[in-house]
Amino acid sequence: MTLFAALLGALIGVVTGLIPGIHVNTVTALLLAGSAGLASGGIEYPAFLAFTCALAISHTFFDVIPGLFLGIPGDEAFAQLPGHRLVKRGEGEAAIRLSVAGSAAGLVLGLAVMVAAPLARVIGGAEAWLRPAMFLVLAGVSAVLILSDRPRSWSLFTFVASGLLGVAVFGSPLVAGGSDAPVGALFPSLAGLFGLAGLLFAVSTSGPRGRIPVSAGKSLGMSPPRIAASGGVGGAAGLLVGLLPGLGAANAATLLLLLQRVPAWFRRRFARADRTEPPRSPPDPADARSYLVTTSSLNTSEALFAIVALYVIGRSRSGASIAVEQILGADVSRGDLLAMAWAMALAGVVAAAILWRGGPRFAAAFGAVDERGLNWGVITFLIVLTALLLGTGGLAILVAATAVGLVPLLTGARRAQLMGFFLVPALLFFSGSQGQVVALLPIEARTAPLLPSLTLLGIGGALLAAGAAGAAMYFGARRAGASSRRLWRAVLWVAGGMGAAALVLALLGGAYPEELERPLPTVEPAAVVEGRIDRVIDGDTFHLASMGRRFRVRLKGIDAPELRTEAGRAARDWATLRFSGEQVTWRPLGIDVYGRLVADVRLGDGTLINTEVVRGGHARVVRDFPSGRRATSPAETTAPAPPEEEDAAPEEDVPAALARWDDDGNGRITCAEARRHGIAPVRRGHPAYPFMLDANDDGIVCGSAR
Amino acid sequence: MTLRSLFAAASVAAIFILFAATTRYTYPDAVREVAPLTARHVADPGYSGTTLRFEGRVNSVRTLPSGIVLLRLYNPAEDVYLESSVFPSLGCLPLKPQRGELVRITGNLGAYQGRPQLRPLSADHVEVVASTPDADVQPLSAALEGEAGDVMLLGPVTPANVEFFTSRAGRRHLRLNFTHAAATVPGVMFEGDWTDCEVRRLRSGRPVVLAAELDEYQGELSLIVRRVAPHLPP
Repeated sequence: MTLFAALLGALIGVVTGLIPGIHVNTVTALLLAGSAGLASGGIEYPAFLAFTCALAISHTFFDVIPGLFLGIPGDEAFAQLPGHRLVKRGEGEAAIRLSVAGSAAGLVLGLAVMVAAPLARVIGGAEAWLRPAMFLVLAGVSAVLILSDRPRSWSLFTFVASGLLGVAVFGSPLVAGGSDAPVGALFPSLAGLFGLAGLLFAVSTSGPRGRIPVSAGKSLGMSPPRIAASGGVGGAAGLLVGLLPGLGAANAATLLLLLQRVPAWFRRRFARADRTEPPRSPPDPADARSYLVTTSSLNTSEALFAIVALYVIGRSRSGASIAVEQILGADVSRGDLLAMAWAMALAGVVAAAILWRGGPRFAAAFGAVDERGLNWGVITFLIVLTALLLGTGGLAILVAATAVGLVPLLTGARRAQLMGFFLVPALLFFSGSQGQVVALLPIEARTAPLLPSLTLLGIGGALLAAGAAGAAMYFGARRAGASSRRLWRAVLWVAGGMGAAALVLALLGGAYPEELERPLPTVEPAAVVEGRIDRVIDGDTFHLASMGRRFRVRLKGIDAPELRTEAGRAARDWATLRFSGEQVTWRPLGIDVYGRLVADVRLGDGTLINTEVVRGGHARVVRDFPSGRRATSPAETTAPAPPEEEDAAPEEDVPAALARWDDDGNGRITCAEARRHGIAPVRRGHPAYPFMLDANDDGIVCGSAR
Repeated sequence: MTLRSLFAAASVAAIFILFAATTRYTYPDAVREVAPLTARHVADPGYSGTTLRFEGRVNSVRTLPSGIVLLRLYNPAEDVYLESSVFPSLGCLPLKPQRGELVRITGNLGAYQGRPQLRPLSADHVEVVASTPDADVQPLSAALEGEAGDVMLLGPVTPANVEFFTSRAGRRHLRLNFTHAAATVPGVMFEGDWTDCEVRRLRSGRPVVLAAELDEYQGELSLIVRRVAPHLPP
């Protein structure tokens, strides 16, 4: 199942990567929103994990392609970058293979860091060391990006405007659930800034049909060592931006471009000193190749390290890593990391094989695609999807983000300045002066409640409807060709069709606006949930695989000794042998002070595991752990109570002590019950003692030691 | 006007509209009927991001250097400990909760570093349901009849001459006056008690409600102000 999920994720990543304007975060957010529905179909978390990681990596192999061939960036500022020039020269196939080589280099580097444990620790340490100076680091990077750009005034404007947009969106109630929601305010923001703006610019500037020259059989034009070197640089840059907040591949790509220009800048300075002007040369194709390898490597390694960040620094840095965090919790172990690594490696191999072997076909297919029609199709898809999933609030954000996204395209500023969307809120946060800024400007964040829960069916339906509208628009625009009248007729047909569909849905009672009127969900989930014991952490804490996620569950009312003690390790080994892999039912009962779920867990035959651990002599009964006392002397407190002669009873499903004295059947013997049966005070060694709470740990319950 | 200036103006206008919509947004009535949070909501991934209500005693309250107020609440009925982080971007809390108080928070269920968190919909959705000094709000004249050591809720009062001073120990306290009829009652708010929000509230010139301890300073009545809440007319 897991292998199949990884392969499926890799293949879906191929499709999502090839759709212009679709960010991997959008895909993982949609996946997360539907995960609960899939989990009810029996799909467990390892499959989700493999699927998500494979999809994220496969997507990065392919999302460079639309930028290369159509000049439409999926999410980053690759459109005007040198790779597109290679394609325009008819070296599309070579460009694809260079991109594959770059992505593969980034993946290999990333996987090497993932697997090398000491290196991960060094990176984690470096991030912790850098964290107090995070504001200065981010401010420095922002300043370099703005000052190195031309025209500076428009660069600054773009950075500030996108930053203000970020501040507004992160505190906007216009979309239900705000930026917390699985499909929330970030989707229309990123779609507008990086997708719709570029697409609109492309349809307004390109001709009716821009045929891309294709000439197969071109060599890569780069030696393997040069590819490895460029890929290494990109991979290292991806590591940096994957671990730092607010920065993305666009920022790193721009910084690398600037670094590449440093030698030329020195040459110019040197030439000026000699009063000789070096001749201006056309862009070097070798530089374009090197840049393509570097940016592809950067793109893939950034996606990879954003997920690794969860393990190394305990923080999520991308949509995919948020998805992984939701699936695994914050408890990412080395085993999980290795599981993610193989899923990513598999996705990389599949994606690279498809792209390498199918490179000429992709080049030919993109050559045959009607560029203008595709642009219109994707524009329609994004607008319809936003309207269906997020309503008018989502459309308002989409419009605002598109307006900001168009500014750099019209003014010539770098599109990387749009990363101000994340950088400015991050700068505000790390400056520590968020409160003063909020007081100065009326920008208090407010989030709308998440009214209807998005179901997988709803998301799938919206995707299908948006896809149908996009396809209709593509064919309509292709048929219209250069005639703008026919094009607008096609637009009206699609809009009319969508309106009619909305009307039919509204009449059937399933339209989105009616969803908004529904009250907030009040249905309680099932009290008892099925699951499987995935891993035994210690005698009283298990990992449960349930509902498509992994839960760290603390057994209610018992306390096993810590793992640093001999008794603790014995308890873990005993529980692993006894319970690991068992199908269970569990009932979440509370959340302790450490944020852990406290639960009763029962085996398939109904045996309460909490009691079984105590019965096995590996834990004691406590009340209100962890606010209660811990077992201070494990050897003493966890030793099995020697049964007294008169209390010895034959082995039963329910321990003899509980059968005799636990009147309410809750797995614990209270003082009231002990007194009722005349056995109080109960001393250590009495069969009832392991099932009672000895709060002061003096060996006597329901009585004084004196 | 060139095309690019037009689009720049359009982008600024669009952002302004987003800000305006944020401040003018009104919550639907359904928010009042939101389901109470239980351990089962935390366990079911389908509820991640869902709006829920949690009522609990404040186990601890901590203000981080970044201005985030981190509350840890405990609900004994559900046996649930829950954290809630109130970011400065949410604006001023109407009343900063204190340890032991019963607080109700309405927000979206999420997680931070594996621990469940409730993110309030807004600062107004962090409500102090029951305060420690369980008393009615009284006019300032009641303070003149009280005794040193009494803790009273006083309001509405309009503070004047709100200014900072530094003590000999280097601490930054707040000095202020409250006027009643012919008498002026001096007050002080010690470092650690005041927050930026409360200082702004005191300096706004609008009436407020105080949680204050009566004290005697140089033979005169003085108020040691512990908390400042906005006065909301009935």
